Amino acid sequence: MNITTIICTLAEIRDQLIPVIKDEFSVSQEIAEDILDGDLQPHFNNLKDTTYILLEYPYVDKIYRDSYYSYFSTKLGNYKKDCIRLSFFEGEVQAREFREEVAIHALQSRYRGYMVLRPTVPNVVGRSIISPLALKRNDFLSVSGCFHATVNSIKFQVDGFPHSSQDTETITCAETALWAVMEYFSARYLDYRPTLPSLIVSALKNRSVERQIPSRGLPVEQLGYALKEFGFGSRIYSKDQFGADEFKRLISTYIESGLPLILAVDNLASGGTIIHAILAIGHAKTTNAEIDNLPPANEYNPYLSNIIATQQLKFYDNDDIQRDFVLIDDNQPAYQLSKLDRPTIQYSDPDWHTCEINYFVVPLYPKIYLEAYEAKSYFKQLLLSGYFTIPQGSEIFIRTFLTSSRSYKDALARDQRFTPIVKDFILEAAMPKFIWVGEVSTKDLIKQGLANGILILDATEPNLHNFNALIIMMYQDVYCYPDNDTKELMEISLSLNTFNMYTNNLKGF
Amino acid sequence: MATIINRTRGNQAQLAREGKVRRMTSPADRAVANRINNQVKKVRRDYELKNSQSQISAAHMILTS
Repeated sequence: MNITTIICTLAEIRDQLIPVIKDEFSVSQEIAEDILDGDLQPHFNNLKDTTYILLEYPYVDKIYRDSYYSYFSTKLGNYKKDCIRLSFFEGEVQAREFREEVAIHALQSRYRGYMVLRPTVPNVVGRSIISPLALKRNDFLSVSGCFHATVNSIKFQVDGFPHSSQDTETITCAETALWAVMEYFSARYLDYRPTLPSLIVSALKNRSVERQIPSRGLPVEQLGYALKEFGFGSRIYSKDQFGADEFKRLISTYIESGLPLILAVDNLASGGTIIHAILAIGHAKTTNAEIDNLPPANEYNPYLSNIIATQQLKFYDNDDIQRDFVLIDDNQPAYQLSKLDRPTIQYSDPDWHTCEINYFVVPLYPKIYLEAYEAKSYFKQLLLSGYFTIPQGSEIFIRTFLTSSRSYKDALARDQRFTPIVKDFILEAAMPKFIWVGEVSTKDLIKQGLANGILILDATEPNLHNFNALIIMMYQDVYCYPDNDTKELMEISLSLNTFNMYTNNLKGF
Repeated sequence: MATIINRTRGNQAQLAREGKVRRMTSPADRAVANRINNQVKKVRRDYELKNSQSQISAAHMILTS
């Protein structure tokens, strides 16, 4: 058995790929054309016109082989076990470049990822990692992992987020979402391992009262359970419980923290039958117009809303900005951009347009014991309860996110705008692996990428009583920290400069 | 020669000598702390209820599409 490789332009892909699909997947010319025009063309339409594609077949894909041996091979039908792989490069690619050392180095800089086509007709799009750099529209910020692939015998690597369509039998939207989350985390952190369709079935075996294959989907609650089995401290949030505004803020806070979320969307409220899982992995870059148009935050805590009203504060929450979010939907090409209110507006079928996000599952690091709802509320209490002298009518813009103390200290150590003495205080403060950060600013400052206050909480400390979780807070020329021995709060009067906002989670704002 | 880096202690001592450090133990400070502690309790109760209800209802929402 030999591997055949074809190099072609984006414009040539249709003519090159149809005969390969026809032969490799044993389908008719008409079905091969339908696959290309209906299933694959929307993916190709998003790629830059200068993209070159390298087809390789037969290709052994570990995810499809797992589905094949655990399910498809147990059927009477003659299911193929090999796949086709498409690799993407920016700019012209020639065969000889894969055999010349200098040219290989240049090819790496133009490698934009891959897409596996599996013989699960009509849902053929399998495991894919496509770099946002391959796309016509890539002005967004999203989490990504570094993935390795061998193309035409040469090892390459690409940054992107995993994507696959569902085959509707071994993986539906729920399993695909779980697979993509694990694929991403295993590429980023040694604590996690990638998963396979059969491993998802095994993880949920004791929670299922019926057979699991062919899959008929998973309850949202089982997504949380599976993530827990895979090593996360997962949390589930429901819109009904948290309220529409707080629910959207929590999604935004976790996205700002650089965490991929599994969103459960449905159109049940409008009489539909769609219940679907998609991933949120980032957001569009924030524009000055979006900041200018941001209205004061609706505060639902009566204690805090009373303070804001009494002091006539203009209190803004970064999580209220009406941004486009970056979504990974297994029914759509990778990296869709949509508002949280209309997460499936890109579907051609209007039934999907009324879908709303009603749940989300967050895969937290297991030792993050303080979650977003309490952390956000605590930041506002610390800020507004009277420790800082905030003049009547002041404007406050707050941005809340979770990050690793290592990344945070690294960014702070390099920030030349920070008051040196405060920088030393923070850099020398003992911190856990993950911290909650409340960055305080104003609309004008945030448009310049600057902040003028900061609060840091220990994300491993859920007990907020008597400042147990507080590491430091500074604002309005006051620096506060709990004394190591007595746990009493200490106050230092210090002149604080404005400083650069932290943008490491999504590599931008 | 070894270099020990811990500027915090020296800076805190220096600022204390300049009268810029204050232990926040006044009655007004304690009142603020108590208000925050009370709010923390309320928010915790609120969150735990919302979280448990989220889990319960999430068990009935089956993702199929």
